[in-house]
Amino acid sequence: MTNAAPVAERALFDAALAWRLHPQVALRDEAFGALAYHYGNRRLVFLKSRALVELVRSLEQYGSAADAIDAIAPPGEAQRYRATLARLCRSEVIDVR
Amino acid sequence: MPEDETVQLEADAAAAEEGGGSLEVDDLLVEEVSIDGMCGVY
Amino acid sequence: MSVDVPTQPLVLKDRFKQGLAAPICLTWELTYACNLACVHCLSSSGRRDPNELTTAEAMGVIDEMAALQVFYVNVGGGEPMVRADFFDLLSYAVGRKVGVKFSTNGTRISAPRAQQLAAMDYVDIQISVDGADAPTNDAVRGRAPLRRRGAPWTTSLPPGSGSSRSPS
Repeated sequence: MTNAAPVAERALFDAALAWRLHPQVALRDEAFGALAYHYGNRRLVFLKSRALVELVRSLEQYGSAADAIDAIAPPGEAQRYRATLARLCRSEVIDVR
Repeated sequence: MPEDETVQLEADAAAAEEGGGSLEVDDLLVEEVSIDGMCGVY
Repeated sequence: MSVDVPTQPLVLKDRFKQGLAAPICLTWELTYACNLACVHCLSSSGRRDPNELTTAEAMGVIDEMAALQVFYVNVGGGEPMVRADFFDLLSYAVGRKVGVKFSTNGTRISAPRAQQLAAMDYVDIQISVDGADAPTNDAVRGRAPLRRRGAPWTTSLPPGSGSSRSPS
């Protein structure tokens, strides 16, 4: 098995921290958004909105995920995008810089 | 096969069917699929 | 900025109907040459095809997969490791971020090669063993791979490599 941190550690998503696309993840644009394939855990994740893809790609340009969400998430969708990032954290598609 | 074992297998099958197998459907903007082992050369 | 307003969440199975930009993974029978003769062989292998791809042509295929962003390729055959350029092609694919999962009978994995493979990212290895003991396996595989080689990969992979996943 690949070396994996305990689930509890990986599950925590703190939007105040600086995040990025995980270096082992390949992100491929699709009509619906993007496909993310993680070469470490072999997971395939469908990202189902272009705004979400832009957010994930832009994370490393912001000092915090919260700032990135403010800038990129569509109006009224901040909480949904925050929850989605938390899910991507759990899948290891994004990690802390 | 013992009766309780049969019941457990049926429960597992129902849960698997309901859960869509390896697909995780949630109301967020992502869906995850485990494809490891699903394709390859045998 | 275009506004994406999802109403109902897109259902995965509906997405598949519209196709993807590129394959997620591809399967590639690299050669039909093989040093064994398994009774169940799906590709009827054993003899090298005189028209099989040259090294340059194979690298061209890898270039196409990299351009398409195919995530990984399943490589089989025949026995892919009998190709003299196998490790060149493997390194070439990995260098272009195309993952490789190859299926092998393992007879060509020496201890040094096992170490080399274990050190590579993006590589998964599937070793075909068809029995819990050597006589059973060898009867299926057509020759005597386990007895002859002593399965060097089992002692050469570093601890924690795992049995069913790639060494990395």
